[in-house]
Amino acid sequence: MTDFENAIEIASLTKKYDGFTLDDVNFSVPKGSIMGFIGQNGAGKTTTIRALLNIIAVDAGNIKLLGMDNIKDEIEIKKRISVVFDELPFQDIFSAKQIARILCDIYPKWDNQIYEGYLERFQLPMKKKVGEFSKGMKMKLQIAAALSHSAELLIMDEATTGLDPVVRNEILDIFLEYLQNENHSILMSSHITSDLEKVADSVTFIDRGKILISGYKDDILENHGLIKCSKKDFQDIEKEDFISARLSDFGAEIMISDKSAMKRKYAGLLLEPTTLEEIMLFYVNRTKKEWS
Amino acid sequence: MKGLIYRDFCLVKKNWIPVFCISVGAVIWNILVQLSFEYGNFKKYLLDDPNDTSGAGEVSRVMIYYIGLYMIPYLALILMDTLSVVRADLPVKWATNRKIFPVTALQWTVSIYSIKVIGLLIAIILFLINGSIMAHMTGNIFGIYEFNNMLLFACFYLAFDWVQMAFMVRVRTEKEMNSAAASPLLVLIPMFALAYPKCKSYAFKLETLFPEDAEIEVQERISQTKGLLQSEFGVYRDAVAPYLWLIVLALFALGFYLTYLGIKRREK
Repeated sequence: MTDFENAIEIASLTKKYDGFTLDDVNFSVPKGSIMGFIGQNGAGKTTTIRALLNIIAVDAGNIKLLGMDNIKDEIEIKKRISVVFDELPFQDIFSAKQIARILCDIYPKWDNQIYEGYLERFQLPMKKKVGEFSKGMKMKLQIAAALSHSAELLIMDEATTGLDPVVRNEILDIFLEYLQNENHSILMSSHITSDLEKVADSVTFIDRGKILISGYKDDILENHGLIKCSKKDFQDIEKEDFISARLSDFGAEIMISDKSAMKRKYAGLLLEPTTLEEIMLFYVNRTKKEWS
Repeated sequence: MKGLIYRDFCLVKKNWIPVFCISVGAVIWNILVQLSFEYGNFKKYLLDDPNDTSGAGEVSRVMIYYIGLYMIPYLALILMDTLSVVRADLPVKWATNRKIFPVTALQWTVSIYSIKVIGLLIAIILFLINGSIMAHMTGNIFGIYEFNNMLLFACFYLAFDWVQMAFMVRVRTEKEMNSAAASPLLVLIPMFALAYPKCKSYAFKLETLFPEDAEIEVQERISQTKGLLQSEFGVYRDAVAPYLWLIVLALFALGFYLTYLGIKRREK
């Protein structure tokens, strides 16, 4: 089934636990794009991904991957996608060669030449036990395996967490290469927003089980901004005009979500571009409204 | 599926190699013991001991024959143990992470049970080799009686195993692992409860046969005890003997089904 617009479609996804609810999650990942799925620890990213993969049962909602139902067509979907978690799902006693031997039987389209090519590129030894690998090497091994069976969709859950900037950069370059094929898509969950700013086409921000923002990254960054002013000027800003404000002894930083309108309304105030990290920070504190 | 079987085999290899070596070593040990009874010190000091009129030497030879015979399948049945696989799977959260792969619950179950089948076949082959060699050297009979005893071993082991597997596939933490490891008690305790009255009556009969002050030759004691065993328990064993293979298959099937159900269960 190649005739689909979105690699991932999530509609009305709800999952209840004691003390946490994934509440009516809706978003889509267009085919051929990379979506950054951001949120702080415990926001619901991993729960959403587990629901996508039918690892956990959901209370409500419909999920489609590559145009197919994630429950009815589970096996067929999993033949065509790759999932990378933050830890390698193989014991330390296995070598890269042994892992290939296991996976080549599981994935019908496994290509050992491509796998060995990636190992060579990443300078990973074939016969060394993965227990002797560093964290960065294990992640590269996972990615080599993920890219070796013609997967159309990559789902990464905190895959770059704990890696040094050099390795992270290397991995992000691989993703951009992967996306050269317009049939390939990536869903990448992370709280390292700087990585997503580099590579993501679109971003979905989740906090406490709810989706707060979902859309094209450039649009989000274009629409949001930080007003920097004195505490006195801050008093003149209406509460409904901003997401939240960080107050300090030096003044106030106020996150707004409609830059063009606020530019006109508060023309005298300094309005600066913002980053995904700042957006995340201010949204997380939205209920407090003013914080320091 | 070959990939999954290969994975499980790599995880049990660490246990299999020493157990296999010990089993082969035990066969060699049996041969050496029987050679000693034939030509060596056991013959000199046990069989040909002029002070031994009770025939204890001959009794020792027979006992060692049976110990050597049945030690092999006990060791080799450990080859079917997949607890080490589950234990090794805990740190990598395999119970969850395996669900990212396009493998059905049935395929997973088949791969786990393939290891068990291979272990059982190796146990049977080692038993046959050992028994044949021992029978040839000692002149003892090695036939359907001994083979059925080995299958009885397998039945008891499989009864514990299917309970343990049903718990083990649901294990996600070290604490749950300890509960799973103790689960064979669910089979053992009822078995003891059922067997206890019979064993008690058997002990009473032994006391009647061999009063404390009676002077009875060792060989006579062995012979009468064997007769009593045959009459008390041998009857049951002989009754189920024609069906032992069916019981083994049924226990395998039950364990397979429960393992399959456990693997299909999802996190709530």
